[in-house]
Order: sequence, then structure tokens, then C-alpha cells
Amino acid sequence: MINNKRKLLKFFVLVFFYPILNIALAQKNEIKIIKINKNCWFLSTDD
Amino acid sequence: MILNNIEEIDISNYPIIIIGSGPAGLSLALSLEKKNIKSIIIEAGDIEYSEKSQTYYAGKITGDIEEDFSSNRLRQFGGTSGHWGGWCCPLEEYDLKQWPIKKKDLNIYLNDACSVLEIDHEFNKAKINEDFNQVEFKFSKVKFNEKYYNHVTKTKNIILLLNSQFLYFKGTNKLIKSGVILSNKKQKEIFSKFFILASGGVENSRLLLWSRENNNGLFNKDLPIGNYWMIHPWLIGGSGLISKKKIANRIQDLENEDLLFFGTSENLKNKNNDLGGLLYMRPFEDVKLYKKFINDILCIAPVYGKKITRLIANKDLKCGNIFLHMEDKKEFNNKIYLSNQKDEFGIPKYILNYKFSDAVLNSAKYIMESFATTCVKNDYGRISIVEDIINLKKIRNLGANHHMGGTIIGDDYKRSVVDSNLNVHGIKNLFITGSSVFKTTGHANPTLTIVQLSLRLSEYIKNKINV
Repeated sequence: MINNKRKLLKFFVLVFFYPILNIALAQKNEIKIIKINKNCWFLSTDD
Repeated sequence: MILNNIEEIDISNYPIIIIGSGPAGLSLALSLEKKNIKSIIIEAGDIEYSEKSQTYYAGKITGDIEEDFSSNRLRQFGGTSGHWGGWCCPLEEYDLKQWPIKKKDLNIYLNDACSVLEIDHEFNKAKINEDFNQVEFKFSKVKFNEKYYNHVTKTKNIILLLNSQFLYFKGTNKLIKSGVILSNKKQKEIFSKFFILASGGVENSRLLLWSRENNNGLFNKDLPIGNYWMIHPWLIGGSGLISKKKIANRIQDLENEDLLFFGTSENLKNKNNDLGGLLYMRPFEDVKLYKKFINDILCIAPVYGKKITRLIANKDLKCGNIFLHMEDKKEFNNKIYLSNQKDEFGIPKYILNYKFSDAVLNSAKYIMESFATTCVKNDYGRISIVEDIINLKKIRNLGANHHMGGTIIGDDYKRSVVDSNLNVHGIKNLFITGSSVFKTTGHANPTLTIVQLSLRLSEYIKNKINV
């Protein structure tokens, strides 16, 4: 019974939370602006 | 036939007088000739310009344009096409929204206009995203004076009258009866059925203003002659590194790979609620510049720097300044008017009052930021924006070469000078062609549209003559 509950919980986590987690991670790749030599470069936070 | 003296021939068989032999006037005369309609072109200059003839373009300019037009306009057969850049692209459909004629009306003449300019008529466009398109410009090598000299010399259907300064129109009862010219140091009056002013983005306004002063009551006093004068603000928007495969390879068999053009879409213009623009990049314009950008990127973005080395290895990296060719804002107070000083022909010199609208800088910032963001989000490359633009400090204009407006097209005589047939409001037989009729500038270079307008006018005149 407990094992089944665990499996069910794992299933819900994978189906519902994993995509949300992915989106959250993707949003980490945001735009940052860095000024150098009178130019403002538009870069990614991953750059 | 080329003449220096109008008295050498009988002009009664020539129903059309065209003032100006640049792309607008000459393509009109050539098109009329194909329809068996004879015309006389009055040209103030000679076959080639001289130092002295250029001084007649000198005037007073107040505001944000630093140079006068004695260097960027040419007073000669073929007009300013003697040293034009040659880049051609039609206006977008949304550029013509405010015009009384639409893109489909001009498209009828696209193939013929491209033949005049000796360019292919397929202008490819490929969507980058909702905001930008890769667009194709064609390069024309045609210099009107060189290309059409032999033809004009031989034909009897076109008389090119050189060294003859047009002064002003004369007329009564909503009809032009004659044009007064100064030829061979003598003032003469020439009579005809139709008169077409095609003398360029400055002279069209000046000669029409002077004609209004010389004819009490002939021209409506409310016509905004000289108003809504515009250019293409031209500036360096920034610089950047882009992957050709990812962003600039969308148009197959691009004719000119040396220049990459990206135009704003109608969607971006609507979001911005103002002006559109063209971004272009000339990769490898300067190796030193190229190295500098890569050094900057390696310094501030080391992870991306590694990617760049891969792009260099694959010969996929395009790098250079990003130029902005902005649409201009139509402003009533940007205008040409007459000075108290006269030139040696007795025509008042022009005064141009032109100031950049705030909308130009705001739109330039919006366009550059949108493009830079698009490049990062889709990993097309990395773009930098110059500080002057991002902080809305000032426009460092690289030159004012495209002169538009002054006799704009429209339905309302209080807000425009010519109607949809390029006919001056209230004057039955006077027409204007050239960039001075542009109601909006778009971001494309104007010559192709000028030729399209002239060819359309020739069709209208043919129908008028037949009636």
C-alpha cells in the first residue's frame, strides 16, 4: 500500500513538477546587459 | 535630342514639359516616349556637374542637419543618380498605409521600374520572428546620364534642354499656361499642355513656392508646400556578432552576401506605436573592428567566447557595425521655405528647418533592444547598442542623403500638395513626381519607388491626353 502511494507520488512529481522545474531552470538563462567601451552588450546570464 | 537653346526647334508638338532630368523626370520621359508622347526636359545643369553648378544647391539649414546640399545633390543630366548608392528595395505595404495609393498600385510598375534600373524584380523576404524579417536589396549600377545619353541624343521624341534654369510657372483659372525659363541668358516663356515638376527633394518645394509667390491666387494658399520634409535618419545602432547560418541564411541565393539587411515588421512597428527601421551589417568591413568586438566578448562573456571560436572555425561568424536606416517622423514644422536672398537666377534661396523628432531616437532604441534580445533568446548571436541610443542621448546622423516630402501626396489639400495621381491640388495640368511626394519614408532607399511613381504618372498622362 505504502509502496503504491510512493509510486503514485513519484508519478505526480514527474508528470506535473518536472516540466515546471524545467521552465524554472530555463528562465535562469535571462538577459544581462554589460557596458564596455561605450557599447552595451546584450548577453545571456549563461554567457 | 540634346539642345542648349530652345529657339532651335518648334516646341508646339511637345505636349509635356518636364522640369528635371533625374531618375524621376527621365524615367517619365522614357515611359511617355514608349507611348508615343513627346516631351521636353528642362535641365538646369549640363551633361556633367561643375563646381559652379553645385553652388546653386547651397542654402541655409537650421536644426539638426549639418551639411548643405551642394555636395550630396548633383545638378546635371541624370541628376543625383550620378553618384547614388544604387541600393533598391520597394516600400512595404504598411509604409503606404497613410498614402492614397497602395502597394498594389505601385506593384503594377515594379517590373518596368526594375528594367529601368537594370535589377531583378524578385525581392525576397524571410521571416526571422514576429518582429524582424531578413530582406533583400538589389544593387543597381545604372547612372542615368551614362545609360541614357546615347538614346536621348538620337531620339526626336525627347528634347533635353540643358543649361536652362526653370524659374516659375504662370497661369490663371486653375491652369498652368506656361513655364518661365532662363536659357542662353534670356528669359523665355514656354507653353504646353502638361507640366511636370521632377527636380528633386529640395528644388520641387523651392520652385513651387516661388511659383506661388509669382501667381496671385493660382495656388491655394493652404497647400503645405515645403512642409513635412523628411530624410532617412542614418546612424550606427551598435555592433555585433551573428551566426549567418542561424539568422542570415533564410533567403536562398542572396544576390549580395556582403551586406545583410534586417527590416522591422509591421508587428514591431505597431508594438512600438511609431517608426520602423532597417538594420544592416557589412561583415568584415574592418578587420581591426572585428578583432575588437571578439576581444570585448571574450572579456565579458567567456562561455560565449568559446562558442565564437567554434563559429569562426565553421566560417559562420559575421561581425561588424550595425547600421540603422530609420523611417522618419512626418512633422509639419520640418520644412523648406524661401529666403530673402536670391540666387543668380533671381530665385530665392531655400531655408530648411529640420529637427529630429524624439520618436526617431525612441524608436531606434526600441528596435535595437528588440533585435539584441531576439539574438540572445534564439542564440543567433550577440549585439551591443551604442550608449547614445540606449541612454536616449542624441542621434549622430551619418548623412542626410535621401530628401523626401515637401510636396506630399494625400487627399486633403490642407495636408498634402498632390493627389493620388500626383496632380497638384487645384491645378488641372500640373504634376509632381519624385521623392518630394512621399507621405511616409519607410526604411527602403527611395529611387525604386520614385521610378515606379513616374511610370504610373506616365500612364495617367497618356489617358489624360487621349481624353
